[in-house]
Amino acid sequence: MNTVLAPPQLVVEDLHVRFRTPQRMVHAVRGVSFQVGREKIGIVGESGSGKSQTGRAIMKLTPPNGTLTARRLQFQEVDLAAASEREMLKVRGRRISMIMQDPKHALDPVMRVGAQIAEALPQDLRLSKAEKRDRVMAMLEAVHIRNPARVFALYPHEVSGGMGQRVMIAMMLMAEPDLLIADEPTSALDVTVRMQVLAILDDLVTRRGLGLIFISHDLNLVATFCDRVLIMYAGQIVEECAAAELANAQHPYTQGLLASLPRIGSRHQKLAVLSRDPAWLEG
Amino acid sequence: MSGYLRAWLTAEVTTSPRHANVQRFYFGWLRLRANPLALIGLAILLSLVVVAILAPVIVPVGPNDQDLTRRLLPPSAAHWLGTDELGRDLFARVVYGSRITLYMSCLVAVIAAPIGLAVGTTAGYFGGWTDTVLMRINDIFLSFPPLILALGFVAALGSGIENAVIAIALTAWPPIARLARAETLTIRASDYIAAVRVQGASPRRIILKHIVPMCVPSVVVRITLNMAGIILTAAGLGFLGLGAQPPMPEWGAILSTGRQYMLGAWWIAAIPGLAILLTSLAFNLFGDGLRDVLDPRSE
Amino acid sequence: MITVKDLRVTFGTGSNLVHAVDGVSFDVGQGETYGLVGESGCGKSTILRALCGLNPNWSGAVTIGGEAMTPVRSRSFYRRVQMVFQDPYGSLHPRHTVNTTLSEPLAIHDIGDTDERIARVLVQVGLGPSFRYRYPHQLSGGQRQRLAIARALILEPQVLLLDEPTSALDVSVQAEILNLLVDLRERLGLTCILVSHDLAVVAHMCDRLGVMNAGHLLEELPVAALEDDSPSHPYTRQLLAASLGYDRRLASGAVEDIEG
Repeated sequence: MNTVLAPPQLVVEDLHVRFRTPQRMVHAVRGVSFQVGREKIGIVGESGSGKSQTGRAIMKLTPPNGTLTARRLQFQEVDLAAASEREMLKVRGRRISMIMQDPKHALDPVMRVGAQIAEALPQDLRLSKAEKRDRVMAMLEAVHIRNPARVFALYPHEVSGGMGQRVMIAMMLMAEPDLLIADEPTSALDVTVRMQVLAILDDLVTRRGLGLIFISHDLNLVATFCDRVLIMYAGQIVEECAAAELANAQHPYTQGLLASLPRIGSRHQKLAVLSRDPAWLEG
Repeated sequence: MSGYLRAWLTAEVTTSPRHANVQRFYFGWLRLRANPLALIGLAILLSLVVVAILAPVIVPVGPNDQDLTRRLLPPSAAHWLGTDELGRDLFARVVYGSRITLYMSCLVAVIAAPIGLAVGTTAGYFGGWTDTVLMRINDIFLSFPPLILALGFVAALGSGIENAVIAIALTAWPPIARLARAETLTIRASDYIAAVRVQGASPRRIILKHIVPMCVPSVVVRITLNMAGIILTAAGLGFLGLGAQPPMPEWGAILSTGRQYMLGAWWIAAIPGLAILLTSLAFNLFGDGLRDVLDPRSE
Repeated sequence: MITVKDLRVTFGTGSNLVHAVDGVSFDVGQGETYGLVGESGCGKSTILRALCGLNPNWSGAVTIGGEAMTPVRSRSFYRRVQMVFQDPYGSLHPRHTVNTTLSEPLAIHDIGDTDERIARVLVQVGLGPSFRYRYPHQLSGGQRQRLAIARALILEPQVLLLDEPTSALDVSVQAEILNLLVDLRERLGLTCILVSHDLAVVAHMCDRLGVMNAGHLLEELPVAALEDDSPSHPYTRQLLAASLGYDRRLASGAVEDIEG
């Protein structure tokens, strides 16, 4: 990993996302700062911790009832914070891609898989139909689909969960992005399939030198898969550490989360229950 | 609004069943208030109800008071909406006519909605041959245009308001049953229905206490939206002389007589026509707003 | 307490016939918690639905408490066997308050002193009396699952079937619910079957488990065998490895091309 030498791909400083609901104002992301190089960075947190909204904010996909502010939101030479919707169209899906939790919702149900992947190709390449098809086939092979010609002609409802997620990954990589945001990409998958999908992502990051932001609630998974981990609580990053060092985490929230995990061998013991300290909200 | 009441209405913790219900109603009202068109619809409907109740107070003359010396007069200060061929005040007739329209449409709704709900939820919950039989009967009703079907029933039952109501109700329940069945099919598959089955509840109890409450909002929305069609069918029957009988000031019937004087006294046909249009429109606008508030999917 | 012999459940007919559960046999002793582990679609939840009478289309022999089960159950059966569902957001009626949800089973079985029983069961699952008139949307995921457990316990059953009771919850909430279940099981002497895809959850809760795949029970083993890292079946070993997190070396065996 050359994370120290290379300039960061993405710099986030003091990011805030606020939502207005009929009842009250919700401050979902409260001053988050981090940098991403060509590495696998994990964002872990429980539901409502703001981890998904952080991922969406980088793509500027914050829902309409939310407002996004940041001191700095820089992706390579693009100032995302100041970028117009028009400029974002050149970044979104081209240079930063996002993989969602459930591929079934992200794929168009009435369009064949191959055609959907081909759509993700940049328009300005002006490829012929045959060239597009070749590229799609090559990408399907890259995500280890054995019979790409058959999958090419399938409709989304005809593919299994694991295959659907591979198709999604293939689609997201067509435009050769520099940064990939994966929001719970494997939590809808079975454990054995999960391993395969993760291995594909892992190899792609290493081989193509992408940056990967891996958003998950699964501590074990992030600790073993990522290079670096950010732990989010109530919209803030409470701790940042190397993934391998997660077991030695300092913050009581991280320690509490780790202790509350049942393990093989924890039988007949009471699981530690996290008691939330209001002081954590102060950061 | 006082701060205390507002705090009570928006409290995150509800302390009694009444509190919980009032709060749900209040949040629904907030959402309805955000939709100006729905509010306009509601305002028209409410004023229609007020007009119907206060008819004798609003107009000094009765709807059937004739004055043959003042026939076919155009709108004026004395007769705001003019008079008809028998010298009856058209304003009085339209105002009293709102009573008939509201009476008929509400009665139809009260009869058709429970029938539709009962048939639809039963068919949806049990499935199999119960579903097949009930839905084929439903299809037969649905395959006729409502007015034709109503005409057939009135022809068999005899004309008059009560028979018209029965006839229209018979044409109004099938779409409700369709809707209730579709809703039931999704509700039936949910875990909360599985949970009550695991408690040993009878099908009757499951349908009445667990499925029907989930169907009611969409049925209410649908019947409100269908109200326009019901009013039009009622007016259509009146127009054809099969609904309300003369001299009752039913809008459709007034329109029908007005047709003969169309060239000389356009107002006799235009005024009740406008009333029908306005009421149908109001029901549609309000129904649309209600859907946003009540539809469980939007919560 | 529970014996299951050669249980078979099929869905569909003709060429669409699916053997969701294909000849599964196991026993659960009085007061024991038996775990069923497997990936989605392996038939583990289907077994629970057949046991609790939600799915009458099964064949084989099932006895619960010495009594042979028929596909259609009597009302008194449900006083002895209750179930907790996976998704606390889907298993509670959205228009029923906590009070309505809890009084419903009592009304079905004509049991009196509703007030007292509801108050007692709410305390048992760690929800105070202040929760009584709230709607499900006013509760957090953990509180909802506590309510679902309360609903199952209010009939004072002997057998509790748990269908992925924590997989929709955050880890810190999962710990609370697992502790609650362990505590209630001991205090009330419940016999449980726990279905989960998470080996760690099953290993934490159970003494013995069965590993399922594609409708078959591959092997039964004591949890101690997992703790010694000595399961015999290769599929179980695969699950065990996956439950410990990502490992590129292990995954390299797993990244075979999948058939298109």
